[in-house]
Amino acid sequence: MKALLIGQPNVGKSSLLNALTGARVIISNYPGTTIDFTKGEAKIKGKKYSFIDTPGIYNLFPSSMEEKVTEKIVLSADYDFIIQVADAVALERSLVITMSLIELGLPIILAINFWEEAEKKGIYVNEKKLEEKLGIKVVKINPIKRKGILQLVENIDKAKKSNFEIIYDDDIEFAIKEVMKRLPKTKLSKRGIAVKILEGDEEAIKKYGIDAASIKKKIGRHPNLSIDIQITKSGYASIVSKNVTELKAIKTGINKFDKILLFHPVIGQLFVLFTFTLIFLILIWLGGWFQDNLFSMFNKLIDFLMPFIHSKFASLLLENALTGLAAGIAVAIPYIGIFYVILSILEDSGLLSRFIIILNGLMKKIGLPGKAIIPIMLGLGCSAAAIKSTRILPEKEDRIKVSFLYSFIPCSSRTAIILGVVGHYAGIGYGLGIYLISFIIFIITAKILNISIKKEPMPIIEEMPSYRIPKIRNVVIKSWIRMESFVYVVIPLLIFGGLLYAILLQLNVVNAIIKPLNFITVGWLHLPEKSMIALFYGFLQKDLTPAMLANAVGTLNFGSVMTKLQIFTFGMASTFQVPCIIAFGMMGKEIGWKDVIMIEISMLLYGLFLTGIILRLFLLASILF
Amino acid sequence: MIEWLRILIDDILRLSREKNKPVSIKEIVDETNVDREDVRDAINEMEKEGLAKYKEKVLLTDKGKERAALLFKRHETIEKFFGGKEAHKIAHSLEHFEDKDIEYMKEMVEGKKESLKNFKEGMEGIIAASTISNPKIISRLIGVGMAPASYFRVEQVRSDAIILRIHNRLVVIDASIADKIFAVGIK
Ligand SMILES: Nc1nc2c(ncn2[C@@H]2O[C@H](COP(=O)(O)OP(=O)(O)OP(=O)(O)O)[C@@H](O)[C@H]2O)c(=O)[nH]1
Ligand SMILES: [Mg+2]
Repeated sequence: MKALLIGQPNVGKSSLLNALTGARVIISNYPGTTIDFTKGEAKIKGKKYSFIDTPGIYNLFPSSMEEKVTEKIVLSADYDFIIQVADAVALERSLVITMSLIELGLPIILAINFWEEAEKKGIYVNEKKLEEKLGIKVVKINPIKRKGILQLVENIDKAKKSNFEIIYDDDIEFAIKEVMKRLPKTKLSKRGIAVKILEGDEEAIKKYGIDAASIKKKIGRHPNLSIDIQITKSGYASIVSKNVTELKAIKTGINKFDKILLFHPVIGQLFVLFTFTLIFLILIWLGGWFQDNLFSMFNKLIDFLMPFIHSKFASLLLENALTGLAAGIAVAIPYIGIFYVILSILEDSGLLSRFIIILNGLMKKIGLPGKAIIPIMLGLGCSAAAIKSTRILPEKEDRIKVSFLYSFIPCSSRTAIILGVVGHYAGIGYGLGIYLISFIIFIITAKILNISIKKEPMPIIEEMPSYRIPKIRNVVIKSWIRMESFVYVVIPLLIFGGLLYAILLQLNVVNAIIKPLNFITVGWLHLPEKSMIALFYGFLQKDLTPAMLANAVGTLNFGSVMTKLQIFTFGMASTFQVPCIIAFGMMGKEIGWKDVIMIEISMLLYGLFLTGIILRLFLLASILF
Repeated sequence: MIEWLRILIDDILRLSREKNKPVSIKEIVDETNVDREDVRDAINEMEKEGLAKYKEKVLLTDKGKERAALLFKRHETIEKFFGGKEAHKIAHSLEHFEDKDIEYMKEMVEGKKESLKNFKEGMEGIIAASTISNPKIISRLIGVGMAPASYFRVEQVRSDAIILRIHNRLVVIDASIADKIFAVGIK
């Protein structure tokens, strides 16, 4: 049996999937966490069930990319039933979706979440009444505390089609009948599909190849059919919700913190600035501490192992593999891990989504919607994951813009280069300098892109999630999920990359590869010619950069073989790039290969060009002063 | 009683009131697109409830006339509530709502509709209408709870956006959108 988990953003679908199946899907306290579907499996009463978590939808009429993903699966009818997760606090909103699902003739179970929060606010949802009214099974759940999950499991085979009828006005009813006549037999109810088509739903129109224009003309009295249909549905949802909800002394009032944070134009922005400063300080101090300690551990390990190896090639292999691994682990893991823990806390507390409003004005100035702050923050973690998260932006133009800009949003692997290599060996001033330069180029590039990619940003209409105290368990799990790929993919790559380099050295072909590129490395960037190896590996995967630099220059102590300015230049050259081959692939999938190859090449040249220019500015300044 | 039967009865009552004279089964069938038998069932039920007598045409009793007048008034109320001429059709589809819901809308209608941008912090109101024609924006608005007849409270007003508490959740609406939404203030 296959069940879809459907519901509004941030109602706890992913939490429910995790509770039902032990899956580990990322849970965050803001709308738009899940952007693709994920499957989890469980055996219930001897039967195998698979549950599919989907991106949240505000309505079954998508207004952004990730909502389209969900609508597409719903219309595919390739599942047995739906578990809709509803929000007891704002039941009416969830019921609008229920109305559409009912109309499509889908078997549903309604799982009511946040009922405890609702009761605290004086809102009581009577699930028995709701069951009667809609004729479907209703269960109250709390997936975080694992309440009601058993009851849901008990009733898992009780998904039913509802007999509840939504009746539109006569003209719309007439149009529905006309469209129904033209529809082929389907698994979904013809009436529901006809309504979707008349609503102007792009997916339904594409799927059934009927565009109801001629029918709409006949009922010309309806200037805006789509809106009338939507409003009628919301009217029914409103009535049902009023019927089953009891209000007792509603407690309202805005949070005091919000009052200061959101409302005050200066304090809000200072708060964001303070947060970012804090993030960097923690990264520098805590990350540096881990880096030093991990390094000395690895050095001891290498020193300990070396005497046991006698063949020259074997020791070359071992040393390169271990140096690669050491640099990867000591430089990358602390910075990546710490950043993800901080990010998780920002997400789960509800602060991150406040940044949308606080920075809305500034973002608008560089031509991006306020909401873009979410993919940008995620981009400070991993660009590849962040590129996918641009789905939450309503316009394709904005997605392309942000994807371009990831070249100047250092992901945590690049943070490891900036802080772990540049900051550590050239001085923290140089490290912070790279951030500052990234930020300036980010703004300039955004402005340039505005001229070439023009589009009025879609106005914000967003829900602000409630403040919640982050759960340590979730913070740890989430950081681990996000780092998992690092451990399973990058670490083997580090070892393999080191080994490959050792073999190339043994075969004496390294020079043949790097010499032709000397005009860039030595000529334009004033770097040691061997650093090209690291830049090249970095092109594939940024975590390899420090490791391969260590291999190429033969030591982990970069300060001994490169000048401070060289380390600084090297840091910039490896930062200002399309992040890595994985991000490149992700971009290709998300926004199309043609655009991406163009982005990749232009960003590579643009990054190298800027690095050389900044280097020359520095040289000029050192002559002048 | 079965839902559709009640709706059909309401339709017959409203039709009689609109034409201001007794209507025939044929007229009803033409108007409502339902089967003759269903109309007969509805009329039988009306006779049972003492709303009408059937003699070639549907003759409303006093009780029936009273109910028809009420229905007509409701229709008018909803129509006023949801805005201008375009709202006529919405009104039509919502007219089968229960009386108490209509009652509170009616109270609201007496108030004056104003653009959301004129609402100050701490003011409360009911969403009444909008001049937005992009269905995607309407879909999103309904999704965050800004459907017509929803109660809200203005929590904060910023130059670029307005923050409302609606359905007990905080929602941020761009100022450019707030301009196009109309609401009735509650004292
Ligand atoms: N207090 C409480 N919090 C909950 C409950 N269920 C979920 N949450 C919290 O609600 C937030 C959203 O949960 P998710 O499971 O990510 O929601 P989602 O529906 O998958 O959200 P999207 O993927 O954005 O559509 C998280 O911060 C959860 O910790 C609950 O029953 N009680
Ligand atoms: Mg989710």
